[in-house]
Amino acid sequence: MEQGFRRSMEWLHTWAGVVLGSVLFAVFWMGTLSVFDNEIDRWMKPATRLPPSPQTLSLEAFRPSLDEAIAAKAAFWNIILPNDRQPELQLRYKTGKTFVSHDVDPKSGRMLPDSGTLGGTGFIFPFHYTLQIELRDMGEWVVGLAAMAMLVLCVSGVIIHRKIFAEFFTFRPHKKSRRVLLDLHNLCGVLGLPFHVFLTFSGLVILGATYFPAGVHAVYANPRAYFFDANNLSFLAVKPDRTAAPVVSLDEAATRARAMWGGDVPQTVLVANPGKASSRLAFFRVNEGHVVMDRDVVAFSGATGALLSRSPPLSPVMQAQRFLSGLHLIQFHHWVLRWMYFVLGLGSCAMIATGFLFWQESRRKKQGNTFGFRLVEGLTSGSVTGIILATLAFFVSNRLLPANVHWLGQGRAALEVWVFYTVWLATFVHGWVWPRHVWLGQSAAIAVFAAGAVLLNWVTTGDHPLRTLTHRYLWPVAGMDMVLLVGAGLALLATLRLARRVGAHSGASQRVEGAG
Amino acid sequence: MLAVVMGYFASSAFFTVLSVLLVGMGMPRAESVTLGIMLTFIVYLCLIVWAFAARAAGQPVVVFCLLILCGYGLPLFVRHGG
Repeated sequence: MEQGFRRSMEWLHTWAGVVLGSVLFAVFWMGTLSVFDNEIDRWMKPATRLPPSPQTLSLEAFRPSLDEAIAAKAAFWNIILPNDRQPELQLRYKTGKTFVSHDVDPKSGRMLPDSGTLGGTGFIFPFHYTLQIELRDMGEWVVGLAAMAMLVLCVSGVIIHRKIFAEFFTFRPHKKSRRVLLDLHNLCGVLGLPFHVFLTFSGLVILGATYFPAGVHAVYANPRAYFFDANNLSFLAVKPDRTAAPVVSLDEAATRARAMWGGDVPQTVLVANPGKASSRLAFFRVNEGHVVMDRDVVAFSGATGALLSRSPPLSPVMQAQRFLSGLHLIQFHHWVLRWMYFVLGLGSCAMIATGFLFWQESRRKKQGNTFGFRLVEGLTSGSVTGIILATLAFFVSNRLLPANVHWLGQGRAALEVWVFYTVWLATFVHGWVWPRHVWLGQSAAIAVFAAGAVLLNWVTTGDHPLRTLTHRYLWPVAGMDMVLLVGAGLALLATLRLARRVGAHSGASQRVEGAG
Repeated sequence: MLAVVMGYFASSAFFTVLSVLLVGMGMPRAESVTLGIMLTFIVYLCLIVWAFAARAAGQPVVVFCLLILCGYGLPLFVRHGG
């Protein structure tokens, strides 16, 4: 029984890994980058590299933008105030299905030029949980399936490797490459096990209502009602009306909200149905100091200024859920922890990649020419080095494309995304057509692209690493440049190693031929 | 395949039953659904592992069917407006 159980878990581990490993790598890679999504935004939107300002303008200074939204019959209008990681202030409203958003210098109220990019928060972060497939939430379902597979992989992986503490200290770099790959896979897996399990589980819980709608429907009329109820946003559920009414003073309402919070500042100011008698004015409290995302909201009637609701303290169940989502979304401010998330995320990526490579190495001799093997081989290179390369191409294109470029009816931001997909697809084709030198070629390309991105950042913005390192407000840019450089160095090292091995191989085969 | 698909519906059914029961026992709706979501993923995980570990498919299939019947039958009798 014991043996049979382990065997079936092995089978499960192999299949779940091979089938969903690509998706998992993409999700983990983009998730790891999302840890620094705001910092990537700084890098990709040079106009927002602003020194922090000690004081910001009053909210009323943005009344013209609110009036613009009212004239456009916007469904909502909001301000996201600057914080430690985001120096600019963001104004945004939605009319029909289009979002209009502007970055604003909080000191002068000047509109910053549109950067023409989705950046980290607009592309990389959504990619992490939707894969940018918008067709009927398909992407979210695929990610959910992969996440579930990840949990299954963690459980079955632990069962396969019973000697978990021995694995903990086992790394034999001088043995055969297959053995090394497995050791590395186990090492990353065991060291990061709590991280893998918690992050996967909390990610599932965040989107839980999407994945299991049945229970929500059993109790609520629709998922929206649950969302409003769970997030204390029920004040938003109002019948739309047509009576026009101006919005009361934003600053006065903000002062009242701050008084209720004991002086804490709001992070986001929201006006729903602006300009209507039923409009709602809501303030969302900053949430930087703790892991639990309490999302404290104070809501006023936009037309009269009357207090409508304030979030009650969280119940234990909600606290548990908010702890999990806070753990996952890392809205709290702690630089050391943020870097730990990044490193552990890279560890997860390494685990998935080595798992793939181990699968290949152990089958190369026996089934190296079968269709299935070739398929997975191409899939591996495309989904491991390929997505890294595509992301770097995304960064490079961000620095290369001229502002306001239009091509084939696509705007600049869309073109960057097209570059990402084109390069990604190309890496898959590369892996299927020329499998022999795919790792060598792609790691060389990664080294070139990563170093090129740093250089291009210097040339196009004048912010070279020495300058960014010496100015505190440019550290996000410096950090990204440093990571790119380290990545370039590692990729170069890998390229040289691979090149030497290829050289040794062809030398050996020549010798064999010579002897024959 | 069987484990993944039937396990999904079975745990979804578990979620429904749990939500309805907890609300029936007087827990606020938002809380019961949130608790349900968190537990459901764990149940789903256990069901998948169990289904793959079982030597014959018979036992899991019977249990899954029972769960599904309960879960999708219950809302027919209990109506909660929202």
